[in-house]
Amino acid sequence: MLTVKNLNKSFSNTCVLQNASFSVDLGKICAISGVNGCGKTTFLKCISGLISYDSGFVEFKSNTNFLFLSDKPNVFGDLTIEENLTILSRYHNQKIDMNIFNDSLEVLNIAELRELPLKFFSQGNLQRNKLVIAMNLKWDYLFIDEPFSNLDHQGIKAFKKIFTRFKSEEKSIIFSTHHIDESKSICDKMINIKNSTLISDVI
Amino acid sequence: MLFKLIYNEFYLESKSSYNLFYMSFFAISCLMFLLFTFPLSKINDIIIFNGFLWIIVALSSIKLIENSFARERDFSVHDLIYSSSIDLSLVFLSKLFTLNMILAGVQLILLFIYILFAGLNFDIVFNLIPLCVLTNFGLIGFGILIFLLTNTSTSKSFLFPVIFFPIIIPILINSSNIALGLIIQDTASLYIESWLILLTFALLGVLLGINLFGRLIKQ
Repeated sequence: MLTVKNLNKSFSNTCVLQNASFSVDLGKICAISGVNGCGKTTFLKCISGLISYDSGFVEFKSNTNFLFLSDKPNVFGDLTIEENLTILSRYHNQKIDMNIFNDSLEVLNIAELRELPLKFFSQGNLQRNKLVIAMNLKWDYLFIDEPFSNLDHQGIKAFKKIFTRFKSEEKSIIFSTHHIDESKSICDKMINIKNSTLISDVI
Repeated sequence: MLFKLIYNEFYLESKSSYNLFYMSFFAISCLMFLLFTFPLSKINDIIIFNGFLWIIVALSSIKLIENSFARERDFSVHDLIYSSSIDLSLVFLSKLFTLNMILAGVQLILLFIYILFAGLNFDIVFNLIPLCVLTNFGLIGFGILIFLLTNTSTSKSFLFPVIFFPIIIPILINSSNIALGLIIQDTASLYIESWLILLTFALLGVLLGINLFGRLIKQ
């Protein structure tokens, strides 16, 4: 279980998160919504340890891995999908299963791009590549920022299907989004951030 | 694990546009620019060459460090790397070793040019290699830390060389002192002290890097 208690974060004198508390069990999908600049990305970065917070605590059940995918491409531009994934797997001290890798390219419909350096990918295909990373690395919690942005209808459908597959494997996904209607069908929990405060279960 | 990360860094250096070839080209360009400032009769003077060598090494180290982090920031892969459970001091050490080796490669190419144009012999070049490696540990170690301290925003990035140069001046002076001692085969004056100062800077750079890299990269 991931537990966040009384998390506070300010930038200079601007309070972004105030006494934010929530918990997510394994095998659940949680969406975080809110207007631009409300603190969705900051919240995800705080719980993944990428930025420090002023007070409060974030606790994972022991021996749990997590993966953070920001709203940016998350790639080395000069590498191909496979090379990029191999490099990232070394940073995460894991090995790539080529069967899963080939399957993920087919599912996301980007198999024909496997020889192309990632810097030439469209925004939508870079977004698909993020899910290739998520499908090939081992994790218990996935924090992903704006997963549905830049995706066409088919892409959103594929993402939702893969998210549901992750859920059936007892993995948890916490993502920020503006696509509230698209997210409702797959989420167990929805959180809205308003005036620096988390408002839980707005489904 | 460390070897895997070092392999990663070398692989990325070879794949990206910022490899040994481009760094050597940069170093040779710097050397040619500097040579313009002296009359032709003076440019094969070993004292001038020695000074140029360490100026170019300092400039190359700045470029190498900037390129190494720019590669991660161009497409924002750094969030994914630095949120992993990996020991970040190993990432620092892998960067330190890789950039040290590439800088040593650039130095060897420069020294080869010196063999051709300034009459330097192979024995001296062989003796200069440990000096180059020790100097590089100090330069790269402190360089990475100062880069992380000053690159919190684009508008502050100009501070990197501004803060870096005063800190590395003692390294450059002592490296130059030892190199000159080796070339003219007069190692009496301040020789041991210079080695000890370089060793101190190298150890400080490595130890501070191991302890502070994780905190600075996540600030």
